[in-house]
Amino acid sequence: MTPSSIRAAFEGIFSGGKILTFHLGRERYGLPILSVREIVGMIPITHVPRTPAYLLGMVNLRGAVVPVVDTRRRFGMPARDADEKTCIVVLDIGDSGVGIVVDRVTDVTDIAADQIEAVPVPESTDGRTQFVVAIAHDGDDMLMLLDMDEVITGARREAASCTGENG
Amino acid sequence: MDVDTRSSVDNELDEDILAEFVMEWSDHVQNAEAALLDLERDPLGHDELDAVFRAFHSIKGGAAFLHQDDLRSLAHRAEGFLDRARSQEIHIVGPNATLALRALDAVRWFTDALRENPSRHDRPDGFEDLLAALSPANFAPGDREEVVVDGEAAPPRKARSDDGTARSVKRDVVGGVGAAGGGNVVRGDPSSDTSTEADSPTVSRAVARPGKSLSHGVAKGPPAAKESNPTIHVRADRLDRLINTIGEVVITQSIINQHIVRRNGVDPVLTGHLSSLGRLTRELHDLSLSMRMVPLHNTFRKMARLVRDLSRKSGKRVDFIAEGEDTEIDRTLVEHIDDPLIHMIRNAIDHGVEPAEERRMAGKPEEGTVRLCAYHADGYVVFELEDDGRGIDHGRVLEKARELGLVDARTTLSPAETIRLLFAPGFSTAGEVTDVSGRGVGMDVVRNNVELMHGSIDIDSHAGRGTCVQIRIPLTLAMMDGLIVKVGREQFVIPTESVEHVLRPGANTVSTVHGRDEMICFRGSYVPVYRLGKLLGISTRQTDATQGLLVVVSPGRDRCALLADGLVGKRQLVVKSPGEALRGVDGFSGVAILDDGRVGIILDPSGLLRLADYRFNGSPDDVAGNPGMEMRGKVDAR
Repeated sequence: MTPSSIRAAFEGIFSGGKILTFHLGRERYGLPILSVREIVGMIPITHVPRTPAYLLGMVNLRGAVVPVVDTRRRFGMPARDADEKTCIVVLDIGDSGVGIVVDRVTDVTDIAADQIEAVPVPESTDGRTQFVVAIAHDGDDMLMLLDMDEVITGARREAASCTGENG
Repeated sequence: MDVDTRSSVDNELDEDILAEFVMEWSDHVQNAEAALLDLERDPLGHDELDAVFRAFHSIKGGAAFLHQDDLRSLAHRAEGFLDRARSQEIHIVGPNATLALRALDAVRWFTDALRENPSRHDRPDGFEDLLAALSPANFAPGDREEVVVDGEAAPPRKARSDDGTARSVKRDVVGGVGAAGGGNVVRGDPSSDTSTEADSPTVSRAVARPGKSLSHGVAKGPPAAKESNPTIHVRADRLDRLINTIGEVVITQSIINQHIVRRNGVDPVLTGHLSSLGRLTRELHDLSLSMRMVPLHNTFRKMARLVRDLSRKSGKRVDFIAEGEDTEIDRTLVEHIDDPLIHMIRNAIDHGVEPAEERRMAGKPEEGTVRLCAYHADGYVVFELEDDGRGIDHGRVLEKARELGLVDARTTLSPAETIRLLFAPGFSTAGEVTDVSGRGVGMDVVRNNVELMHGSIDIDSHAGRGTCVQIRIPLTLAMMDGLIVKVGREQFVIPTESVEHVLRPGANTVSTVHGRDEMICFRGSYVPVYRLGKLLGISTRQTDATQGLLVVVSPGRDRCALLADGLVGKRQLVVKSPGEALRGVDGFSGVAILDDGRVGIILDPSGLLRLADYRFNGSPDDVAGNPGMEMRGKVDAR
């Protein structure tokens, strides 16, 4: 899936569908299940020197070299040591995919269109809310639906604008 | 025509069938092109002529079957044209050969277009003109000239009674693979068509090698079968998957080995089984790598054609000698070698080979010689391109370099140093910009292309005698020998090819400059020491250089010593494509999978040198904060 088709998946998110949910600390986030390639436990990550801190490095996933993003750092949340619940969610981006590290994968839930509302939080400067496109009411829980295009390729755009190159 | 179109498929055609035909047509074009180039050298070669004829015939049949009407009429006209050559009405040299080659180019255009979009129906530029040129109307029967060789008229053969177009040759649609025999000397002779390219389709002069009999009966023998083993077409993506999977098996095997040794100590039975499994996987891996290897036939054919066209364009007579076209190279590299070779051949013909008069004055044969050869040596494919032209004028290079401000007026340079100036960006000594070369871009691009393939390029030139360019590139990028070093808690791979020496520095080996920059004396000259930890922004506890390990590397002409914390070992590694993950990050050339299954980053010594330059000489952008998480380089090494 290309980043733009990922975006399409997110734009379609307002009509609901199957959402993979995961936790970062006590916060619950969601991604359309169609944008997820696979979920693996923590495996050794090779750090790439001289890259931004939220890029954790690369993993060998059955022969494919997959870059991995630290979601906590990306969202400006405090770092946390990996435990047995820590997972890498591999998103369907590019040939090899892109992994994001999450505290734990929670479940897959059906969200209907009327459970979803556009994000009420204004664009803020803490670097976090810009990644949330919508909020879903799942029972009493608040589920933040993420714009992974922004998390991954937005990151790349920033990088590109820093070095003056185009991604 | 002779193919029954009633039984052919409907417009609703199966793309698979089309793809198969397109692939076949490409083969035909390649074979026919080689045969045509041979034919030009020996215009009376029956086998070659037949091969070209058969190629067009098969293409015509296939095109009719698939309702590719433009392609069909092109092949039909070309077939008729060649049939006139078969009946000795015309000879395929000079403008006629150019015309036949143009027809092949047009077929190639169609195959490329169809490969891209099976339902497209447009035509290449100048298609109508080409059809008209091939048309029999252009050839009045009395317009025929005789083939003159060495002043004698060749006996004209009796023309066949038919006109070549109505003749029906019943053959299988897919039959008739034009086998072009091993001939690998192509002679470009511009004198035969410099002025008559377009208007005179018949031959005014043909060149044959002295001593060669012209009678048709002389047995040329069937083209020697190059491959006694039959080959099959396999989809490239499946092959890649197979090779990747086998690479995985090798890695998994080594992970298991490590694990078992660590856990169980020595179990003789298990160790025995594991080592035989290891042997088998190694064999499997070697086999899979050999499947990636392809011979250089196509590259050589392209170059032969290029020499022909360039020699015509420049009006210089050039004899092209090709050796080693059976040399094999990794499939992923073969497409990247073309550009550097094309560039060097352009240089050889444009700058190297002199005009005939100048050559005569210099006491050289009027016809220039360009020799391209390829061979294997120590895990590398070596290409040598040699010409017997005027060579590189060191004085002129130096003059130009001074003009461009590359060196200052008082500097004196050795011949080797002078030649290196050619690789400076924007350098060109061509007196004027020609269509062929001399735009001032080039040698630096050539060198970059070669370095992307982890190869090297050398030029050896003697004024008045000619130039030899040697390009060395690794056989494959799928595997590499690497030195694994430790830096802090990380491990990095240094390609063995760029390692000159590894040493543990003694107490007095490392000297400092301004108490900051470190140097060692290596083989009589001072070499800068760069600490990998500092360069890569990795914290190591090590501050004393004598506790570390110095790896002397020499990427290109520069040499430096990299200080690592320690050596893990020397390994043969499976190289992987890092995809987007390393683009724009200087200092790394790719990734490999280490013994424990982790990803190991391959250091790029020349990139590290650039980093070191920024670091020590200052640079506009902050080196440590380079956030580009993207892959540099174009060669995709899986």
